[in-house]
Amino acid sequence: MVELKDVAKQYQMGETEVQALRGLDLTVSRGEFVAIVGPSGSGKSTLMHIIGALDIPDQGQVVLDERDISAYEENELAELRGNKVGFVFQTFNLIHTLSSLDNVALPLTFQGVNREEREDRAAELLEMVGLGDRLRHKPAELSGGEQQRVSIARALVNDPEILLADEPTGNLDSETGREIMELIAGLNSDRGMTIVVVTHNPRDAEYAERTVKMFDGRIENGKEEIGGES
Amino acid sequence: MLLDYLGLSWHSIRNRKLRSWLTILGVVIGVTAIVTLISIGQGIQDSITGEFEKLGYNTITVLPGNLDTERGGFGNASSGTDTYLDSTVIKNLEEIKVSGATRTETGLINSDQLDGQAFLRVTGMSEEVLSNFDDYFSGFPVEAGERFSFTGAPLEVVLGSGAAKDLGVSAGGTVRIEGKEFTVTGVLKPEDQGDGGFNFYGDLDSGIFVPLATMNDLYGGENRASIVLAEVYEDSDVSSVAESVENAYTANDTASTTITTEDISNRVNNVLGTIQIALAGIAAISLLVGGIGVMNTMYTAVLERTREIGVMKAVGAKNGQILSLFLIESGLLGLVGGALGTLVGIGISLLAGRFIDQALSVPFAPSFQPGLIIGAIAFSFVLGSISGVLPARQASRLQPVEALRYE
Repeated sequence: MVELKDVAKQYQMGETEVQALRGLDLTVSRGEFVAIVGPSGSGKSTLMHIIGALDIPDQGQVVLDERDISAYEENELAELRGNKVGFVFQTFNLIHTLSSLDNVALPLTFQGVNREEREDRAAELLEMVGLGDRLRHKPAELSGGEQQRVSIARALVNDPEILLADEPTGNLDSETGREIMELIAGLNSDRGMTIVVVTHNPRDAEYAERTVKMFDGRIENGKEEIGGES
Repeated sequence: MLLDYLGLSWHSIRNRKLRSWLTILGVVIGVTAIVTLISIGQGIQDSITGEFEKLGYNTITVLPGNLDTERGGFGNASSGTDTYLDSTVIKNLEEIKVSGATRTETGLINSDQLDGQAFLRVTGMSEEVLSNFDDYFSGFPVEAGERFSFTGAPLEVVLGSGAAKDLGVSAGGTVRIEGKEFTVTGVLKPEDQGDGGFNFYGDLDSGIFVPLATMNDLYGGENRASIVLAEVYEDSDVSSVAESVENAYTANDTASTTITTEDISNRVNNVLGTIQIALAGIAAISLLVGGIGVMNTMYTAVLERTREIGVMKAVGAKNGQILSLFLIESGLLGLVGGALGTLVGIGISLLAGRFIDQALSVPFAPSFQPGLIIGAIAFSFVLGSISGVLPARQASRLQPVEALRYE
């Protein structure tokens, strides 16, 4: 599903250049649920951006769904994100002027899906994440947990091949966080969805089949560790 | 697709109501100014053209001498020259349907009611002038009594209302012109109570009018005219007839100048058109400022919604789609401003039109041509979109990762 070879990425943070990834290899198979853990600044988010075609590496090769996207143009990447990838963010990143329904339907707008179909699909997914009675609510009228559910529904609306979640419980209390992680884990077990969760919370990582530890832009020991330990 | 974008743009405009309305207000002011100025300007042009049309485009005015017609006011044109036209010269031109003549002199006038005597303008007019060209004298509206007759050279006079008042006579009374006693057959309506419009004579109220034949008896000279008026046949080329008229006078050893209604109307329209363009230009400056307001608002919007743009890109929006979204949004600001501005402009013009109508004696209504209204609204949409181009480009080029990281 995902194959990264010798991927390096650096970016400018104010005056300083940050070497976020330093030659990293990673493979995620179809249907796998992987947690990427590590301290902040270890390059987890950058890694997730590259897996999710939000960014391209300075060096190395990225294969997503059997396509080498290392040299894709911006619009090709957008196309890929629109069809193959679903994102869940720590801060939910819902558009606050739009209702839950419109937020979930938004990705389909850019795919040119007609309104009726968009709304049917969005309503169906909101029902699935347990928000069937919150379709017309704006984000500000929802709790953090509910907002994250909306954002999960949005991530699923385009029927992605892979779901990427960046600290999905980071802004939630532990109980709500647990519910969200269960919801995400359920997508893997019930639907066989490929999932990559970036987290610094060991309890979140427990839901995953496999945990990848990152430190300083590399996968620790240069190897992927198999197993569900934290 | 476009409708979906419209919906999204509309959402964000409504979300920051005050700022959107203030931005729209900037456009409204500019469009209002343009619509008001153009519709009033066009209205004035229409009403003046209407007055000319009343006179008819197939009338030629012939003046003696090589006049500089740019100076206008040819009602008095003959007073500064001692040359006359022979009113019979063009009578037999086959291109001319009918012609008439007037002759104006300064006459020595007195009446029983007047102490001493006065020098006043006396105008003789041929029968054809009153039958075919009375529009040149605002219709020559006799209020009391009747017009003078044309049999022979009667000692009959029609007085302008002011002249009648100054001389202290009314219809049926008598005045003396150059010592000869004349019967006042009628007095004209005061001009401001007439049917309005222009007259080519000048101050009708102070005029003293007699038949042309009487005039020639009083001041001598056969068929002398200060102005000859000629009507051409329908569908004829007025300016070529005007040329043959001038040629006919040249053959008669008289210098002449012809003026056609078209000449004057063109000249007036040229002047008005220039004024209108200048005014619209000034109004366009305020519209430009409105456009800059839109641009400013859109830059702020892009900055504010950087994260939102990042999200949209993360869920698959392409650069072009983000660009369209922001262009539509700024276009909408322009469009709403344009529509409101057009409405306000129409309102103000109608209101102003009433005052102008009352202030001038000319019937006036602002003119709202469909082109103006459609043009104003379409132009505001385009203006809004153009103002949004740079901000929208900035939005579309944001890197998704950086946009998402933006606080």
